[in-house]
Amino acid sequence: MDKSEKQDNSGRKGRPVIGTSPPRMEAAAKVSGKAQYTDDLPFTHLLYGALVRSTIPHGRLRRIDSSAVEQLPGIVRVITGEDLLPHLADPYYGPAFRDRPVLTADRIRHVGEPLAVVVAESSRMARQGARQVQVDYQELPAVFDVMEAIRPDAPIIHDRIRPSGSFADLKNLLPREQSNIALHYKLRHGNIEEGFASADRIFEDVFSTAPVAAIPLELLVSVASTEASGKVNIWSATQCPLFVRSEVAHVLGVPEDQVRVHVPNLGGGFGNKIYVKLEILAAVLAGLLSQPVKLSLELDEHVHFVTSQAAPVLSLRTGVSKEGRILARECTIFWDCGAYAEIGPRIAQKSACVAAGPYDIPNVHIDSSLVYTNNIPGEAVRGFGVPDAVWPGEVQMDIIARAMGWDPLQFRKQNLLVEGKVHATGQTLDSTPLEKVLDSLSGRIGWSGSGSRQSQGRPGRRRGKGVALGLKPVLTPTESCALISMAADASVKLYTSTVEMGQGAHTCLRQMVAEALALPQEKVSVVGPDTDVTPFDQLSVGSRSTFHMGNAVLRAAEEIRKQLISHVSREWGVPGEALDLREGRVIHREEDSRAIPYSEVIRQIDPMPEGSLMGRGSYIPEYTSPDPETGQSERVAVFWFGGGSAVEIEVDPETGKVKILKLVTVGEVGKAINPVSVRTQLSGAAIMRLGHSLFEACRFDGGQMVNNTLSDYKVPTFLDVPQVMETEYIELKHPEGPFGAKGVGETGTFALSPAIANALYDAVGVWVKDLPLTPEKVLRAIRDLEAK
Amino acid sequence: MSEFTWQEPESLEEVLAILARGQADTRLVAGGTALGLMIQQDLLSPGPLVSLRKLRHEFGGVVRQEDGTIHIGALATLRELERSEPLNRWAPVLITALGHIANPRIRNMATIGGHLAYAEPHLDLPPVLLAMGASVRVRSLEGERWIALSELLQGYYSTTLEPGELLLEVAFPQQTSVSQGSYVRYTASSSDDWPMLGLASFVESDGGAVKDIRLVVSGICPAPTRLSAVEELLCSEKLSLSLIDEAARMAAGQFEVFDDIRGSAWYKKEILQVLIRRVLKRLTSL
Repeated sequence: MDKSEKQDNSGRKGRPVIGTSPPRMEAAAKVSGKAQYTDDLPFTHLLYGALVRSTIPHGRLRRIDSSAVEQLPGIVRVITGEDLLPHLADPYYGPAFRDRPVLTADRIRHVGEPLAVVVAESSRMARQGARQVQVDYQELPAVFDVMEAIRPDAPIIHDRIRPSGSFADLKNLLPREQSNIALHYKLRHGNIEEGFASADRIFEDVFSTAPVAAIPLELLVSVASTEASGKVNIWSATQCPLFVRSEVAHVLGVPEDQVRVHVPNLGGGFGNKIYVKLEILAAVLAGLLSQPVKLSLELDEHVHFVTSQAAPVLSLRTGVSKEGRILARECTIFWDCGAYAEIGPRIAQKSACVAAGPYDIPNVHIDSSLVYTNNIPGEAVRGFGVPDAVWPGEVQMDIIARAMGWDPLQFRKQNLLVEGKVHATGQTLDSTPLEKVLDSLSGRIGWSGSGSRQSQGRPGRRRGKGVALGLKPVLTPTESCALISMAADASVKLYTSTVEMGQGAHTCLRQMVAEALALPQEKVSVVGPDTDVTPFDQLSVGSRSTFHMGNAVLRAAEEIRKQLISHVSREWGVPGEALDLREGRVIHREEDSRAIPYSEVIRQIDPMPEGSLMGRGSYIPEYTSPDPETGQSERVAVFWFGGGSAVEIEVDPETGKVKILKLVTVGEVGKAINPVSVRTQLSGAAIMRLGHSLFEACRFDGGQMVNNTLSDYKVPTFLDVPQVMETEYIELKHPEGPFGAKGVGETGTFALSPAIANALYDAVGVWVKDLPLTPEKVLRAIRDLEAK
Repeated sequence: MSEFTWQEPESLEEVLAILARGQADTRLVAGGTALGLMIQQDLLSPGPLVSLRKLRHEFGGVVRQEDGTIHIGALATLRELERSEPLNRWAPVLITALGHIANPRIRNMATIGGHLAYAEPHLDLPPVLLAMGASVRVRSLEGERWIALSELLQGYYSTTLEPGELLLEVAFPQQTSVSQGSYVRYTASSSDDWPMLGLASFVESDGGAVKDIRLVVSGICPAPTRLSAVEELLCSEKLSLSLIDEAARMAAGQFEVFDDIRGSAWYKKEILQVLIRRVLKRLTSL
């Protein structure tokens, strides 16, 4: 921790607050147990719902028999998909395609699909009842493997696909009918045939990734309650309150002002709580029963909602010149969408576009297909598929370099996408200093460049080092709006729909307000998401909030500033440019003695003692939709952010076990608004990805997840965290970023998996191409090598 | 979660009387750490739950009798045992194994009696206690008997305890000063995962010859299993690296192993051999 990272809560005396690390606003409430989460909120006459779920992966619902259950004590009602239909304007929901029924009335597409909900006076009674509901199925042939699902004779999972039209960036991507390919994204850059024809050597490799879970401490939970007027209130663990409002309104067929979404403290998000989860069902039930209804999931149910979307097949073909230039790269990806599209189309497009790596490659071809199967619907988990898309390319970089006798780091450097170079999408990169990330990684890990196996360390163990780099375009276009009010005593409220989920967003936004209005942070409070109160924000995901909401906040602050300055300018008869804000006062830049506190200015503007100033700000970046045939656009994203990992590992060649001795995570962040938050985002993301890289994987048998408890699905513990962990952030201000900031929440996940795989080769000479890198896979690879 | 009743009897006699009523779904609650999870996950729907809380003082603690046997009360918590100075002197390997179990919060509640009666194949103490030759004392209204641990543990959640019987204590001989012991647990996932494989070993060697040896494997088999044939092999001739290799291969051949989420049968056998080789080399300083 350097000086600027010292935790500092003292009132600002004109010193900047940007670049300091005050403690989190919500920290005291959280550590003292006083913070309220959705599940803690008190309601009177609250009812509890428990879902009856499909035990088959594909079929038709013949009959649901709940007669015996309805006789049980405490059971209020059992409601089926059929019962819901008359109450829904649209029985289907989904952010990209409207393909997912609120409760299925007919077709079942995955194990765990909700079929009915048992509502009872207690959560226990509801769950007990749900277990006893009898379901009669007609099974249909199911398909779990993406390559089988795209065969012409495969069972078709969706007869018709309806785009939802919610996303500007997905308008050009149309689903395919009568096929399990939900979407096919194409990127065409240069001339791929010529590129390969001119190459001296061509490398081909196939990789895969596994679905993983994120497991926030707070699982999915929603409560809904209907007012006498019919207006519905929803309290929910969601990262997207505004999307929930519009989707609930759409499905219920009511105006959006009749839906109010509140978001209390969120116990972690990681992409698990995006778009709509339980809210629609809770809202319908509350309306039907005229009582508040809570739906909450146990872990085994939660993971049936939100495992990550994996890419079981990632094929890569790369042509290089003997001088070490990459001339052509062809990537073919098949994503396992699972039974419903959810966020899959966006992953298949936005994440796949980085599959050729952060390199200057003249000829690139990417085909990314999203394939429906009867697996659990895949979702975004921290990184939005980018860690999966980065994985094959960055391992193959080392495969190529080792085969050609080049230093893998040098090979990366000489092909790197430096400032001013054009990315395969057609966008020219700026404010993305990737070379500094590589330099920092190589310096901190002590890269020797020798490329030779390293055998120092404990006897019988082998050591190796690996480096990898990833790049992500931020989700674009998305919109953020903010409101700021300054009361007569110059205390300030920021109204924002950005969800504070442990990432420190509210603290960071407060710092921006304090800096912009030259006030101590204690003068600024934050009003969090409540859709009747806080203005529009698209969603709190994908490392976008600091940049987008930050810009909206600065624009809102600018309106306040203008009101203060223009009033004083008139009063004093001096031009506005001569005035500035400092330490809570409007001051004259030239004459130190001339200053007037904000509170006095406000009293002059508005003679009522309770008067206040309002500032509004909204931000939506420019965007050019990519050409549907080539994926080319000059402005795919408002900013790109790069991150890399370097590791030193020790391998036990007799067991295949990998121990990470040192882990370095470097991100380029534009400007660190709150350096401690930036570092903890980098290290937190890295530790999360460490589990995904080494041992985490959701395992399925006939579409049923078999390791759906924490006894069997293991996540890293403190004992799994490397003894030496270093993080570094590289600053190069982004011209459009608030104070130059970009985003950082996902950066630490991008490149860790390939860095470990590359270190593994350095240590023991094997390439393991499917994640996770379990000891068993490593040992098999070592044995295969020995057998050769 | 199903309906159940909760009782807190004041005395052993009361507990035994409740058990003697013979209601098959009666379950005893000692620490409740495993039982609670099973109920929560709907793996078990118990009828009456009988708390042993009030017997804790009577059936806890560690004593060493004059003949050198160590006696541990069934209601001693794992944390108490882990922190017991005398137990650390008398059974240091057991202390190592205790430190691996779950986390301190669980160990504060879980008891050794519950741990043994649970009979989960991946638990850490059974292989160590079995290698140390432990037995348990059980009592019912009919009387009392001792059961060797190897006989008590029958496989997945299965013991030879009769309905009506309560496990009161576990006893084992003190580890001799000349023997070297170890417990190795191998996890293929996070460090707090259930062991894919556990290996408890005690070796008494004398200038290259093994005088006495106990090898017990857990995790890959339904109940902890003593490798008697391997032990015999190792005692049969002068210890050498090739003999250790042979012993490791022989050990792997003794089990019918199945694939599960923690590893394939192939991998489990590989790891068993690696661990046996490593442990024997270390304990015999070869």
